[in-house]
Amino acid sequence: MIAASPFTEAIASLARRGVLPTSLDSAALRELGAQFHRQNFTSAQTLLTDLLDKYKTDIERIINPVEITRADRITADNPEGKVNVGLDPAYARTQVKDLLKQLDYAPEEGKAGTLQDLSSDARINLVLKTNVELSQGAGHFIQSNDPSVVEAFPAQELVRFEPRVVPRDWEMRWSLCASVVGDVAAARCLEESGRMVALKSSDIWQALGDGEDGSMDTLGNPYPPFAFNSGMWTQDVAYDDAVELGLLKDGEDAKPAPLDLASLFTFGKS
Amino acid sequence: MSYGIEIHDELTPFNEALKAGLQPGSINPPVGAAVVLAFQNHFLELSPNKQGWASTNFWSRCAKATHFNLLAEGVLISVSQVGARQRLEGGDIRPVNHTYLTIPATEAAYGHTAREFKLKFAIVNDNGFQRPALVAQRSVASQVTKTKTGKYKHTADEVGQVVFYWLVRQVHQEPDPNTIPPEDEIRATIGDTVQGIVDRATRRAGRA
Repeated sequence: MIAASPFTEAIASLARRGVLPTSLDSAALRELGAQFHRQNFTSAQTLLTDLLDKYKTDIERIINPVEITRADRITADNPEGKVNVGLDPAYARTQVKDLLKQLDYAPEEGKAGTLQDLSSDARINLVLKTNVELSQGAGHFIQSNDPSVVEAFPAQELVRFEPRVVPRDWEMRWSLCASVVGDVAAARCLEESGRMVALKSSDIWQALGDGEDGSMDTLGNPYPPFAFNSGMWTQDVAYDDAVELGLLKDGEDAKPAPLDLASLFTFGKS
Repeated sequence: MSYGIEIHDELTPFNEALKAGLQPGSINPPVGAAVVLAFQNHFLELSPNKQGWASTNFWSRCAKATHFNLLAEGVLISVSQVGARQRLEGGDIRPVNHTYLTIPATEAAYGHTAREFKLKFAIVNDNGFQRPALVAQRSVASQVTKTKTGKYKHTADEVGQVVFYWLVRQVHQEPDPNTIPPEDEIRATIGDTVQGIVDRATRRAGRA
């Protein structure tokens, strides 16, 4: 059966963030903490409300393609001509550039093409990618902490979803964060199996998001993306595998993440 | 793109689960999570693009966009990513509000829209065929050669054009069932997950 179905949790986590223009730079915004960013949609030194509104709308269209019917798409396999339409990052980038032209935006002298240039590919890609993934990461975090999911999948693994030319040293971050929060099992898991697996209830996930190892590129959440432009993501690990990796004893009850899910999003509120 | 799973009582572990007193409400979320995991792992194994160009991470984006929705009769696995359904079901693609579709002809164009470049319409000879294209005017390219005296000399090359996009009226894409994991793999994933739930419930009941 093929049908469209929205990623409700991801959409809701985006919807609850209100657009907030700010003159603060990225370092100052980071100081405000994850709770602030879960409630506010900002971008460093962006005072253009129209631009932030546009980003938010486009991000929703990226994470939530909608199903329409088109006569020209009717086939034997698709007799109703259903097709999913939404936005991909390239078209979103073009539309953001169009808006900035309408607003007569010009980058500061010497900043053209850099991350400080609101119209640069690098800046637009970063805003789109980070916010799309923050919504999806929150969505997965909520789904994976459903009590019955936690029972079947009590742990999760930090894995690479996207290659990077110069990857960050996530093993080092993992070891340091495991040490900071005292998760001996998570540290041992990496040493013995080469895998970055920890229980969902471990504080290591928040530590990775907070950059407890000293990293300054993190986003403050116990779910991916843990850092700007990171290619890492998390995946559920089944109960038996978690036992085999020494993260819990056979028969031991699993616990969800130590975070109030209501602080992430609330159904029905924007 | 969504993949619906209706869990019926012919699925042996599910039958056992019901006999063990488990409710579908406690089975469906982990089944959803297990199938999401199977989809993600499948996407991450798919190759980026035929040309070997720098990846736009399409399959990674599909993996991140995969989630489950609970239904009264089972679980719905969805991939909320534009393009995923087209790859699975195939079909004709025609331009909407434009005359042509743009097909990237060079790596620089891949992952971008034509409007992001300064391009001109041209009819280009492509192996004996005249084809409409969007081209970039190449500035005077220079060739660097080493002279007998060891100095480097820049020689102007002829001004030319680089095809960024071929323009076509429509594209037909064949369905690719390999877009999602094989059905037997999905069934095995569901069976293993439900069996695990039953085993843990049985062990727990034995301890009580």
